[in-house]
Amino acid sequence: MRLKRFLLYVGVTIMAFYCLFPIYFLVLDSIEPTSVSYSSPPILYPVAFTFSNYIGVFENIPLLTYIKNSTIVSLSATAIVVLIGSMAAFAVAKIKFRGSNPFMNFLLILGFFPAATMIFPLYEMFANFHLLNNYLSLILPYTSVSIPLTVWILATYFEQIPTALYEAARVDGMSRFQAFYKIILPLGIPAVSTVAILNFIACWNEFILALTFMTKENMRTITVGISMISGRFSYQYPWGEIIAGALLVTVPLVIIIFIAQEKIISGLTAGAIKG
Amino acid sequence: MHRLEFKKVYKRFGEKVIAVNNANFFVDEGEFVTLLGPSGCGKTTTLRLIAGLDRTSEGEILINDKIINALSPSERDIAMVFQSYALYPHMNVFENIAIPLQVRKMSKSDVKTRVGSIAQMLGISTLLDRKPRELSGGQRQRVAIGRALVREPNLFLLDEPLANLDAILRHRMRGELKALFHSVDGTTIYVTHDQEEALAMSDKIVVMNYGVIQQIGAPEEIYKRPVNKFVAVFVGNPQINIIEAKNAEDMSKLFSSSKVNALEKLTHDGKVEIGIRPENIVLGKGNIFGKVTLIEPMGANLLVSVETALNSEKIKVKLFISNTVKISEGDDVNFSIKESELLFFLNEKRVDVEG
Amino acid sequence: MPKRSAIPNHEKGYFRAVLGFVAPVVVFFTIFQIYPLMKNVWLSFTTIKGGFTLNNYYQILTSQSFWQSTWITVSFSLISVSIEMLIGFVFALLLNEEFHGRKALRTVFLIPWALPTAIMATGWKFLLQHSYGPFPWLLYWLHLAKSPPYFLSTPNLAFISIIMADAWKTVPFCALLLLAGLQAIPKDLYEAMQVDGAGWFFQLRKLTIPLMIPAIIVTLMFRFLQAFGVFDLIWVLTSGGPGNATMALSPFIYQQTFNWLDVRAGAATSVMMAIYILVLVVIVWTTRSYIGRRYAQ
Ligand SMILES: Nc1ncnc2c1ncn2[C@@H]1O[C@H](COP(=O)(O)OP(=O)(O)O)[C@@H](O)[C@H]1O
Ligand SMILES: [Mg+2]
Repeated sequence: MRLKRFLLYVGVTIMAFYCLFPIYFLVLDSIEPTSVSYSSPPILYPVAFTFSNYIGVFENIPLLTYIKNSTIVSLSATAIVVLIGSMAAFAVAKIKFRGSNPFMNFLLILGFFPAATMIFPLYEMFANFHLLNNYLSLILPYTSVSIPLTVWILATYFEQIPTALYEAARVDGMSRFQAFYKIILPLGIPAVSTVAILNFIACWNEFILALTFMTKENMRTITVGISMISGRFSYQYPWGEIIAGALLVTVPLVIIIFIAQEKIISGLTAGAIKG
Repeated sequence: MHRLEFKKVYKRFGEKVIAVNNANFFVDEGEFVTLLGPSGCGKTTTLRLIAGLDRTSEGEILINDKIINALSPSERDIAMVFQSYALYPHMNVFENIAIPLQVRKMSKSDVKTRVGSIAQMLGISTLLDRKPRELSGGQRQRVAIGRALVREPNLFLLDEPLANLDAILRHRMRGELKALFHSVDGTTIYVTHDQEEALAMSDKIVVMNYGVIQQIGAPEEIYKRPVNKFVAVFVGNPQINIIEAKNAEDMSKLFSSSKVNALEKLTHDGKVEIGIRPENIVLGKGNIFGKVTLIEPMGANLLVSVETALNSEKIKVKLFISNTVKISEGDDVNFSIKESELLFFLNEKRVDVEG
Repeated sequence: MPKRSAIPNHEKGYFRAVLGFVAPVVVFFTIFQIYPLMKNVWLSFTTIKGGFTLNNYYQILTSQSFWQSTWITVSFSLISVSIEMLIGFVFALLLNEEFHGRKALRTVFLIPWALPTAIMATGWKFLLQHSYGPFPWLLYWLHLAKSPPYFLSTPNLAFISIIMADAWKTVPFCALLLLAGLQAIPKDLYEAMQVDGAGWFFQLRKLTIPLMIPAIIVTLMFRFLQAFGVFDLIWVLTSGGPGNATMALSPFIYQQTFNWLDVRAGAATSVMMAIYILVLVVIVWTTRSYIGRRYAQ
């Protein structure tokens, strides 16, 4: 028994180490002055401390603009997909229209196609409509690619709401749409907030579309902004500032995780195992 | 008030299940009609067809002589109490009851007075702020009924509203519900699998089995003149005694020769099933002899099982006696049968026998 | 059976209602997913002038880079998903035990998953730098390498790097998914086995693993499909290099389309990739329904 406990804690330590050691080195690098962080071989423990990277990242990189762009795009896409996705999920779960099963399977398969397989026609389309470097060029496709996960999670959840409640609403005189927004949607809030969080994170993290459709510096999103910095400094990568920026933009995500971890985990399992 | 009529209604689920099989019946204005049958016989499906929650596979449903097949539930002006009550969990009692009125855009103050008076009537005035999960089973049921009553619909549908209550509450609510639905004007269709409930509450009973309507009639008619063995056995507690007579000798052990003769003419081979309700067997003063095998005290009465021998085999019947009679298992007894109350079944169907 | 009379199958307004609820999502994915896929099919079969051609396919199917790219994608997905599942399962077993700080650790587990891949890859690029990145030097100091290895400029090591980074991000995620599966196993099954005197390893072999197999296989296949589309990680960490050593299909399409401006070759590659995906989906589907039948109670 003792031995088992001991081994367990060894395992736990390894797991924590596994997740955190890269982050440790990144944090370390971000708080070191250039003189220390560029020493070779590297020094793996703190020897000097500075905030200069965190200040520099705001001066040399339009970090706030990136954050603003990512926020606008992610929030809009999330809002739209939650609205239209919950409607479709309602139709699948409660109206159970003919063909709802094939519809769901179709969505699932659609969700498997990587963005790379459709990126050029989208690019062409947005170019034709002069929508490149416009928020819409990200909001619209982000909404679309979020549909499968959203509808799946919500439909699964709505299905667990007793159908008698929907039927009672209909008998009480509600139209389908009233039954949707007065009864099913309020009861589905837990799942709705879960998909909202998952979609927000997914949009915030998206890369390939943002890389392609937002070519102007002031329209870039976080992920592209941070990871493309390197290109502009030919002499030497400003690693300290890049990593400081990377860590900074991770903070909101970590906060979301802390607040909503139960929801996130439940949503991920529903999405993965159910799917 | 609504009149309801079913004309050749079928409801199929897939290829195999026929939940409602050629249903024809009529419910008049203000009637309290019960759909009675064992679980799975299609009662709920029938109710859902009326409510518009399921579509008929065939046939027509008429309300006030108008075909309503294509109307949505909200257009049918009906109220339904679901078996699970289907209270909206995110709304409190007041909001639950108020919903049908709010949907119809009634003014706030009117809603308040109406809900108030309904709550008063059902004795739930003090619960209006609670959420459904904070209520007991009986209270939930009242809220569900309140929600049905509040907008004074012309047709009430109740799906086993008492099934989820404990025995004592069920008995009390039976009386209350009956009084309640007779006092509000409205046609009521009530679903239950409990024959006692059906007998106690209804103006008219529709007995179903395997999706087929077996009999439609007043409670007394259903009880005394069941059309077939199924209805006879299903209705009545304790169950009716069914005795299988294989030949005339068997029969002559039980009743007079004129009856035996009449029966022989009907059956040719003398095979017939005889139904005798326990209350129609009188212990003592009889010429049928047997032995007591089991005594089940049922409060004021004792339910006594008596074994007796016919010509070809032994049979067992159950009968009632008052609990003041001294009797014990193993006693030899004699009994007689009220011949006028006997029921005869040939191929499951009841036949009238002269004599 | 009596003849059917003309009864509407649905109440009035049914179709309009269904349409109203479903149309928005249908419009979205038709314009932004189905149309682009179809457009790529069209592009892949046409010349610049619009005539029919199989040249685009001829070009890519005879090029070594396409097949290499396919091979890299498949091996990357297979290896990384296997590693993730294996380590993920061990982690899940550990997380399923009671210990202090379990909840905190579960939160920590979400951090790698929530980190944007592109940003995570940026971080790894630093960690793997030859001269001042900690990783090569750690290996050197631990005597696991004769000299600090050049991770990102050696073909094999670059491939290992992307697998390592991907595993770092996804192992905790898989562990959490599998943990949910573990927690769904009823406790009384374990108690019954313990009463019968079974030890820890016996329970693992006879109870946990058999009951978890469906969840593991399904998760594995879905992860595989996801890994198959890998782009961000490679684009940021290695840009497909050195040479083409880490050029998976997604970055390959991107390179053809936007760097070489060979839109039609890119379209043909996209279609090939879509076909791969469809084949995988069919495999997943049949396996899943097989598992469903086999393990249904
Ligand atoms: N949605 C459905 N799909 C398939 N079969 C159903 C459905 N609803 C009811 N049934 C079947 O129809 C029959 C009647 O069911 P129901 O009306 O619920 O019976 P009751 O209410 O009398 O217990 C049952 O055999 C039931 O299994
Ligand atoms: Mg029922």
